[in-house]
Amino acid sequence: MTSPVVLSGQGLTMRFGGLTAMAEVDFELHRGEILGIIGPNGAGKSTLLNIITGIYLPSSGEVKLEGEVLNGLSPHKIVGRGIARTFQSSRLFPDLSVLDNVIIGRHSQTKSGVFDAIFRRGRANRELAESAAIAEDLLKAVSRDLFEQRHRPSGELPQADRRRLEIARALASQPKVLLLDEPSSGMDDNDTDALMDDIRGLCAAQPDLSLMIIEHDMRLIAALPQRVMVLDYGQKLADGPFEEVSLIPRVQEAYLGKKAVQNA
Amino acid sequence: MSTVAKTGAPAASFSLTSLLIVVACELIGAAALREFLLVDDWRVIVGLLVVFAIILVAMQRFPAVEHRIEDAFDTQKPAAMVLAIIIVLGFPFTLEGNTYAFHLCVIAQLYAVLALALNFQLGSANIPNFASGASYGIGAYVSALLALNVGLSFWLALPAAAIAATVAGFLLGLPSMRTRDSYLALVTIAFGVVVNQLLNNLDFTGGPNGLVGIPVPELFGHSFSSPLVIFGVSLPSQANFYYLSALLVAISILFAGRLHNSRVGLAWNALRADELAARCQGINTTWYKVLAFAVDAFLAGFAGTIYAFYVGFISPDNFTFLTSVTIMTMVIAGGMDNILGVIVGAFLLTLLPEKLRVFSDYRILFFGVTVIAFLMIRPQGIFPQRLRRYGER
Amino acid sequence: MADLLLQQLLNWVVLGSIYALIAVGFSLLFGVLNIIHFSHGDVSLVAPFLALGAIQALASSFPAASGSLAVLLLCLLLSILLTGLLGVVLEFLVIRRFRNAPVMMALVATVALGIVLRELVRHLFPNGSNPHSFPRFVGGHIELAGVTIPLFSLVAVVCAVLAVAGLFFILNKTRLGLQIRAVSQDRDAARLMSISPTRIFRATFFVASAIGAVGGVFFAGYANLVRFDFSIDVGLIGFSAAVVGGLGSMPGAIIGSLLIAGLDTFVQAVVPNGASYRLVFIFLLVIAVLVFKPSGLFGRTVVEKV
Repeated sequence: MTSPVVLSGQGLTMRFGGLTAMAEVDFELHRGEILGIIGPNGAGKSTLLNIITGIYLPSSGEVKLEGEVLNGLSPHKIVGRGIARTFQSSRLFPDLSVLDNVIIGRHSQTKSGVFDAIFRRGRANRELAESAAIAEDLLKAVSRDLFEQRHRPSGELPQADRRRLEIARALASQPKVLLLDEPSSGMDDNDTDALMDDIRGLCAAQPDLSLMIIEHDMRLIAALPQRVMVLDYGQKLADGPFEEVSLIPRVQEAYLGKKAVQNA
Repeated sequence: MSTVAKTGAPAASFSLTSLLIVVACELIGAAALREFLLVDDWRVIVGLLVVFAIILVAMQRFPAVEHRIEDAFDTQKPAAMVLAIIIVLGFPFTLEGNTYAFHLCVIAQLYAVLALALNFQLGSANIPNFASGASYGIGAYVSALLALNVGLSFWLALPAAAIAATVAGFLLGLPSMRTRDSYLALVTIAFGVVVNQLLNNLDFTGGPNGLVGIPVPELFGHSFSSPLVIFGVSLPSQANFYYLSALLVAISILFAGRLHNSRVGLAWNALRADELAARCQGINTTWYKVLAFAVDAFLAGFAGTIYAFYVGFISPDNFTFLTSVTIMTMVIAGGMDNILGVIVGAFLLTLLPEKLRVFSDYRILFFGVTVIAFLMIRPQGIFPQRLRRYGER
Repeated sequence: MADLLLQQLLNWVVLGSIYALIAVGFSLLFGVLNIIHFSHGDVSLVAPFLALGAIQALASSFPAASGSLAVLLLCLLLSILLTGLLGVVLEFLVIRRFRNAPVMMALVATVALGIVLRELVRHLFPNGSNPHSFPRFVGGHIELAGVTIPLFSLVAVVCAVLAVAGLFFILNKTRLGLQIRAVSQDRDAARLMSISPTRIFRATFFVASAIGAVGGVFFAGYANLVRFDFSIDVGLIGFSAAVVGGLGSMPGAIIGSLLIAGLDTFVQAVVPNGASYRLVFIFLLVIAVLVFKPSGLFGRTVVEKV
């Protein structure tokens, strides 16, 4: 890849008491690139995301965003630096409206505090109206249907729409890097196809946005990311285009088991 | 859901009906309140309560009616506000000089402020706080001590006490950073008990007897202990405090509304719904939690000061764990994060025990039973939370 | 000097045992139902009133038998059983409705329930607003290693130990205990294993309330007095002990109780005018512990699956 590295990790290790969830993992994400992350359950994929977003403090190793070290920063500050994520279980704010969910995503890009809200009403209102307009545009871009439902409580949405909303909310913070944690989980083939189209559209609209996608759905992995990283037992097994990586015996073993590979 | 046509006759008739609904609701509410305050016969009171309960049950059964009323108030907001202000200003004139009724109004309004203050934490952010009584008490004591020992006037003691209470709120908020739910509840309970016990035992706070002889405020030569003469009508001296506390309620409503419809209110709601997800949207949840404590304490401090100068004497018994529980119940029963609901809850829970004095001894029992019954029958509160709207509908 | 020290140590252990009996109930109920049953303290302190009522009823019907130790113990036992049943009744009438309610709501509901219980005691018990004397049901002293120990204290501690040991036995060695632990870990999965959560909740309420009743009865005996509003203090302290130890942890509840009882005894003995300030110290301790260990000393820190 010729574009610069926007996000990187060196020697990332995560220990929980006696359990080593991640061991010496390195990775690089280039600008505009889609990096897939695959591996069996418990391989440490979500751990990696949690380390990057500051939810976990790595036992050792560094995460750098455009050269600046992120270690030790609290999650809310990391969002401000330009990393946004979605969750495997779509953690929306269920009793708030669809639109409110996206507006909250704008939190790191806005400034009004208590004083502004009470005494400098005009300024606070303007900022909020602006956020609302940006949020509406984001919803329209993601799905017209979702835009039409923007005043419904987000808890009432079906699964596919929840995922779209989550992505819209993540995009509201104008991130440089977007991390998607198993976006197709809970979706059937049709929904997954739609999801893939959404992501393609997103990348076309924002060519500088870099994506990391954790996935189990191999169709998605084969089609979208330019590169794929394989994790197993907290270690990186391989890194490269999917066609190459899927042929590596160790990778096949991790998914299918040793015997299956030997007998293949 | 209502559909508002953009043009034409249907819209006009909708607006007219809405206006009528608003006027009817407000006038009926005011009349009922007046009856409730003035009447002595406990049968009438129970009757009013039964009517109220029936209305609530009806709204449960026919949510369409509830929505229609809500929509009416939404579309006719300016008219609703103007009418409400007129009613509040004029209400004292309808009370026939009944000083007890005035007294109840003042107390109910102060509790409305306390409930609105707690609503930031409890309603918006879902942070349990059993120490709101303590902030109330700190406001009262600081202002009283300043007046008695340093000779500060009410108007100077007021901001000083509010600031003192806010500082205490921050001090309580800091340990809140790391604790959650039940543990946080206990920290606030502990804080409340510590404050109460210290007030009870320290000498300079007057110990269990508290402080007496707090001077009556004065404004431009008019003492608050003398009757208020407006347009030739003489209102009892309590009217002074009525208008003062009504002003504070208005300020609290302003604060509450502005904060709710702002980035801050959204952040609180987000942290209430899912704290981790909120942090991952860039919200500094620690700061917002502490902020909730501080804002609550600020308004509670104001209310405490007015209380101290109104009654003229305070003691630790006014600010106990039970006080905090009562305020919490007002928020929960009234409707979390709903300004009107919280105010109605405050009025209801202040006036009920007072008005049922005939049951005297059974008051507290009745209070407890009512609370439980309420929570079982209408858990979302009298007026539950409503979704926000931006710009057009 | 050594006598005084020993006396204080004894106070500490007895008070700690009594608090532990109540705290353990809080922790058990929280562990299983995930709510704070604020009125647990009030339920526990219904027991001494029930006992007094039973004693007085018996005294009027069988004046000859009253006053004997056996009758006294019978009344106590009866009151403990009845209190256990009271817990079940409350679960059925009120708590059941709040099983799946938001935490705040359940909290306020149980606080209100406590208020109702206290008021009911005050109204239903003759002369309820006044304090009533409560017999120290085991009198006499015993010489142990050259020290005079009131038999009551010894019995209190022994009973507390037995009750807690019994609880441990039930939880860890019986089928019921297994079911209780299953329900507390995952209610729905337990249901799939054909464990009826309702049955388990009722059983847990019975056990917790009965053990709390033992605590209530000993507290009244220790103070030689009982009044309807004692439960506010005792309940709060028991609750604090459970939280400090870590809600849901039985050993934690015991250690929390000992900590608080220790501080209580120390403050009353050493600090001038300590009796008035004991609550201040206790709750400052609570705040201090929670600041450094936000989930209590042995609380299970719930790990969120992200």
